[in-house]
Amino acid sequence: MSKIISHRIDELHNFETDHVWIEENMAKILEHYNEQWIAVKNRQIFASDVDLNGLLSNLPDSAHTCVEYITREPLEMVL
Amino acid sequence: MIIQGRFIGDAPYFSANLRSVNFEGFVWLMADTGSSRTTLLDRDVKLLKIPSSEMIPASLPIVGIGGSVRSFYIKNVSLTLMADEEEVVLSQDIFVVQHDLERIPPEEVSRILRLPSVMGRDLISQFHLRYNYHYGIVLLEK
Repeated sequence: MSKIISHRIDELHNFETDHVWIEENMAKILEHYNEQWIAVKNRQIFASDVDLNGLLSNLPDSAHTCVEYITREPLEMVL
Repeated sequence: MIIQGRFIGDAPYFSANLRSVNFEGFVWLMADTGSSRTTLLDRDVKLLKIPSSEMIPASLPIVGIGGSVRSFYIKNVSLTLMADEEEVVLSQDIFVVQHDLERIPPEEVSRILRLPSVMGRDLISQFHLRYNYHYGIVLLEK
């Protein structure tokens, strides 16, 4: 596997881990970021905004960043 | 070959890399056997900065539960999944559904943007899906 592909796969694995990290730390994250969009890399929140477009304007690389909305509001999804 | 998924709450997710002519990036897809097509929703269109020029209006009608949407597809997207010791690269059309966010009340917009993109049966059916929520197992196998 080329180094570039291997690096991309590592990044994808980190992206997945960041999503799981948010879920596992939701109670703590809610204390500070309720009703905000957050950006996470390597299990660290490095940007937040109440508006998704506002957050995106501050992200250098949104296409490879874990972005989630933090809220206490439950959402039942029937897609 | 095994592609491991993860549960977030009670919903099964898989991470994937998408690559097309004019964009590239990661998506967090909710596995949805009720959906016939793998479909990107509003949030990922924004995050991936997919140019509208790459989205072709879909001729097939897309019916779902919820408000009115505009539907598109992107041709020949390379979709990479992480398997245990290799990567799995698939090439397929990906559907895109966009809500008219300008015409929706702000509180509703944030709910719509929370909706995940979905991995549909067009992709899932290429594998053997193993799913056991109580044991935390969700995986695609070949």
